[in-house]
Amino acid sequence: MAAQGNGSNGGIGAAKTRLTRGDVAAGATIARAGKLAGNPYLPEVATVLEIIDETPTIKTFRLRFDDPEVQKNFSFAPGQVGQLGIFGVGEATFAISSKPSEKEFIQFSVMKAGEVTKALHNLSVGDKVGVRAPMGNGFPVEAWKGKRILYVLGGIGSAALKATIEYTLEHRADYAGITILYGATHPTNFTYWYDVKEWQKRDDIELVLTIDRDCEGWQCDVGLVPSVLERMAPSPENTIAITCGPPIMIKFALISFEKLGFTPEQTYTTLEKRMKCGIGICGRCNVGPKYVCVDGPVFSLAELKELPDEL
Amino acid sequence: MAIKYLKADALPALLEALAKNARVVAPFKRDGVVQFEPWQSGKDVELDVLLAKQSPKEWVFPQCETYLKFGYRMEEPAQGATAGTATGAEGEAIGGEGAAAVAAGAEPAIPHETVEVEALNEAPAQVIFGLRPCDARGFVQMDQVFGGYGGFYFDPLYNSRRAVTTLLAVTCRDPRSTCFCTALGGCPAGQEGVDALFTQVEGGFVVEPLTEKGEAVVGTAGGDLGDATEAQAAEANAVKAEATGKVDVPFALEGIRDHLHDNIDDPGWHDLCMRCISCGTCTYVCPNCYCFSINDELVESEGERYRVWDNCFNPLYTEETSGHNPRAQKSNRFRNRFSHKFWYYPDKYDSLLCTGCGRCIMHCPTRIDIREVLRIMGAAPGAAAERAATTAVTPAATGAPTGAPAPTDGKEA
Amino acid sequence: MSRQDHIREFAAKALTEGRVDYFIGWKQGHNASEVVPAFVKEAAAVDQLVWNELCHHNLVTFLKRNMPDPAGAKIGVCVKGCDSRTLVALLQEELIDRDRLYVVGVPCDGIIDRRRLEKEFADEIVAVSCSDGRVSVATRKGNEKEFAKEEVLLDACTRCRYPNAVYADDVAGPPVPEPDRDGAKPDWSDVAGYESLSDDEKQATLEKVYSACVRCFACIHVCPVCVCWDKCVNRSRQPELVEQKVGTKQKLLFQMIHMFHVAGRCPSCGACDRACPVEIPLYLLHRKMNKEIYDMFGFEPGTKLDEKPVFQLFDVNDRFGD
Repeated sequence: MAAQGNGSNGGIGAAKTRLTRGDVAAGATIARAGKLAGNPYLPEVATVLEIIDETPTIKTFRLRFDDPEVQKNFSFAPGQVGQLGIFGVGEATFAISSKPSEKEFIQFSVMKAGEVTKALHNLSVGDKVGVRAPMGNGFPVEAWKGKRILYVLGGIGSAALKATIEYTLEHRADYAGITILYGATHPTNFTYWYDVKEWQKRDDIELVLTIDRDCEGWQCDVGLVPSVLERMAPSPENTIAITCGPPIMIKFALISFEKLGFTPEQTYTTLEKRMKCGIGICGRCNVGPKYVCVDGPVFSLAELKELPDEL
Repeated sequence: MAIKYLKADALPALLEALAKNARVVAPFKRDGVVQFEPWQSGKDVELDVLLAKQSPKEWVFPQCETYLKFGYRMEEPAQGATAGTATGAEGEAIGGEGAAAVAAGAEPAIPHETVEVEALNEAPAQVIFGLRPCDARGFVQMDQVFGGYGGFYFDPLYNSRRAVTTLLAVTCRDPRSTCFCTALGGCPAGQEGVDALFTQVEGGFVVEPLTEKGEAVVGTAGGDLGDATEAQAAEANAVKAEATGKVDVPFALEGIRDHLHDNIDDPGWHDLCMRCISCGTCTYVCPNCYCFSINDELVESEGERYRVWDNCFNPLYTEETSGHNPRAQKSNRFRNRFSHKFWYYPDKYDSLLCTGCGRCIMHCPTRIDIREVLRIMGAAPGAAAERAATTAVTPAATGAPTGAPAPTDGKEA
Repeated sequence: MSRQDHIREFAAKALTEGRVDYFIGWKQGHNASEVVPAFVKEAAAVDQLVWNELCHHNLVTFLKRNMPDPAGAKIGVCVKGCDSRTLVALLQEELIDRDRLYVVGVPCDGIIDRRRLEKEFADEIVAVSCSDGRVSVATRKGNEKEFAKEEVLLDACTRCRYPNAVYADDVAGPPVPEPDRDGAKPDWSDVAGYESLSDDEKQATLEKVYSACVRCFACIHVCPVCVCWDKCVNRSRQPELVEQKVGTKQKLLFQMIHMFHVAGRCPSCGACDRACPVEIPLYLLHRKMNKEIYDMFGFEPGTKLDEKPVFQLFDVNDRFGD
């Protein structure tokens, strides 16, 4: 794993992907900057290695860059995103859901919704896609060292937190504790079930699984994520709370965090917006003065409270 | 740099000389409409009409620009390769985490589809003549976002063209009542971004080269450009001073950013946007509204990806696949444009995103007035409500030019 | 009592009695040569409302789908004859809820074509006034000029067949004389020039005029009977039916779709033409479409409330042209 993101604008992987004002003043040219900065609109061609059917509507794609140099040098910070696209259909933004330590492939999980995601779901192994990554800020996992981490996730929201969860599990010793509360509407709707089963085997983390309504054979919790969270009543002390899931779940999870005494500074989420360029230029993913593609997608609740109500 | 003088009738020869090495773009009148177009021998540059309908923005940032071409091809696999790694240059076995992936892809080798991708970037050398200082300043303001300032991405498409573009601006002798460049730190003879400034005086232009590119233009002109006399230079200065005095200052810039921030939830936004029809005219005539969309087209196996101007008034601009729209209300979209120009952009790039050209006022189908919006929403909370009330009764409260007839009341039936 | 006074009185009364949440009329814009739509919420503010020869905006636009804000607002609105036809077109298709409307018809004897005036001056027009059939124009540099009103009217007004609102709850003053509609067919002489062209010339003409289009969508957004809004096929992404590229082919296709989609509902009010920032003569082509419809079906869009739009009906006796 290369340089860690720190949640600020500069927090990005090893490749130099942005020019600073200083770089430009010093006459920085395309050749001096990293590949993405050379032409940040030009995707790297990648091949589909494997497709995993996660749920009836979610597939995970494991991809490998065709250029071995690109694959070798690729690194990203937990929480960063990428533009995954099919030439001729278009691109869309997805969280990178592979482990940051994974050097053999890059992984995205995609829920079937619009034109691009439908086309992605029709891909077969061996097909070509275009990838522009990594983008965005990522979670400040370095700054969180020594703290307890509480993940609250639901449905496809797990994709946005997967890399971060795996990173903190790999660096378990750096953190005081890890709790994962993961909810789904139905047992078949858990993504990464194969990994969740691995998590269940660990005794150094707390894992709570919940489904909305009880169903036969289910042995874990039942109830909506926010109410299970309030029942668990985790202490806010020295804890970072991170949530991602359907908008309605995030909304109520944030309310629950507040009830439990979490301050806006220790509460984090990742935002999703309609994006096009992914590099802070095209203008559509702004929430007030923040661009979700470059200033986010990770925001603390304290940062969100400063922004207009346009989420 | 020496101040020059160009006789009016020598202008075509100058443009002709420039056109030998570059595309020359200038304002021309066609069917009564003035727009920037490539210059051709025999066409008369239109300088009497102050502002072309659109700014010359599109010559550096085209409305539609294809930046990728791609084609799908069938390719026979290399001998002994598997489908999963056929196109990869390396053939070594993958261990650890990747093993499962390779196993899944390890089917018998069959012909497979691959894609060829080519990045395009056309950047012919060009000279834009006859733009106004506000238009030139518009480029300088846009340079911030496309240039990667403040730690963001560098846009090669814009910058390659910007680097080979020379801006020859003409001083505005007769600013319109909708002009407000001076309120934003500009000027009818502003030099920001201008390579050479032409000021119309008796019989011709006083020409001030301001940059190396501007000097190069003087060099191209050769004998046609003589040194300006002191009287000519003085006349040019008088023209500039007089023009500057004609520009209204409809609001004080100071505090607008903070007040926009404080008024973010003010109901005044709702009242002001009532007559907005959510079209994109203001953004498309603007010298530095730069937001765009990206689309793909594919015909058979050949396709392209292009970027095309978009605008934040378009309800689809922010609409997400789920149908959720973060700026579903017209007032949200309306607020975004003005806040972007005077709050978001300055916060990010230390620069305004407005030069005060007034085109958005002139061409808005319902004449929404950015000056009025800033006077109301850029005022301290509380004062905003008061000013809104005043403005509602006398819409022409400020900006009425000196010497203009008093507003007439509605006529009798 | 002037028509303007009538409008103010009707507005004040409706607002005071709570029959409407707001009233849409016209008010002066940033100078005395501009009139803009006005949204009045309080009876005390009705004095900003004006009526004069510059009131070109078709306010019915602000009633169409997604425009009223809040969505269920009760709205008072002023309509000229041509505007009222677009309102009737919306009512015929039940695209608008009649019970939430209070309509003030404003008898109109012609609106000034401000663009035509602009062509007379290199300088900026800052004031336009009209009395006794004379239009006085003043520019920023102090130039003044007078025109006969008939010379500077909008094309739509010179051939107007419905100068009084065809549908209104109240009328601002006495009606203006109606032309003899039964005795005289509409005057289509304005499209004769286009019709006289060969097919190739027509294609060339269309490509030439539409190549100027900047795809700002002002024409469709301002169009009162263009109601698809965020579902418009011209910009829909899912599915993407019309390329978003900005070539002549795409511009022409976009405009043709608009023209065909409003055919039978568009009474050629000309709002699109006046909104176009690059002055594409959209009006003329909508007129041509209206002529075709009139010739085929004898139909004039938006003239009778109890009539169905022509393209919602099938009649075996339809002539489909002569």
